[in-house]
Amino acid sequence: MHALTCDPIDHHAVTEHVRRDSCGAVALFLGTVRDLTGDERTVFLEYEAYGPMAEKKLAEIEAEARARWPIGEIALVHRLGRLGVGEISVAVAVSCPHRADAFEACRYAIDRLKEVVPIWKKDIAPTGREAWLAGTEPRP
Amino acid sequence: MPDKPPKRPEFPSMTITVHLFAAARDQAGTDRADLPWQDGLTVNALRESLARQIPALATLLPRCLVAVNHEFADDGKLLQATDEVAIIPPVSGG
Repeated sequence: MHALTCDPIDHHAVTEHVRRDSCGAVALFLGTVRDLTGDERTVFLEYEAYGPMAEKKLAEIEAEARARWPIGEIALVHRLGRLGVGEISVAVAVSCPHRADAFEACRYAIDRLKEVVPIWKKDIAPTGREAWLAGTEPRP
Repeated sequence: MPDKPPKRPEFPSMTITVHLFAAARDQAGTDRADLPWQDGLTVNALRESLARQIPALATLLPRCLVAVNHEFADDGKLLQATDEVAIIPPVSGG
């Protein structure tokens, strides 16, 4: 499954969603808001997405991962809106029969998400200064 | 005062809407731009047209991809007036 949400991410629910009796390994990645962006303190990160295309790209990443690894279930969830330090921005959970595949598939999914999904984040400093993070030129 | 005659439907002035996101929207000061469209318009020509209409975007645009109907598009792609076009600045999800 894949989703964009404005609600806090329940990582326990995301993990439970992918568990399968056929899978002995579950890998979970969480991206969280750090308190530093470069040298500056971060108070908030604000995420926005080109919704329909982001959903499409998440679906493609899911399909790519399923084609390459023996996946029981995979979940990719990205949160949008204003997030404070420590909050979860993204969760990727994958179940596979064995751990090597689970780790690899999870790593692939988050790496691919970060290079191709049209989502952007803006750093908000204690001064109120806002700056879009430099980002990665998309690699389709 | 007589009413204006209706536009002749076979000679409309065609435009294509380009959606702007994130840094592109902030630099442009708008979340969309309407640009002239004619048969044969390519993504590359659209980039040039956008940079002319909104010079504030000229520096960022080369680092952006263009999406057409939710797919990344090559510069040579031909555009229809009804295509959904978006400027995709460098992404920073996750």
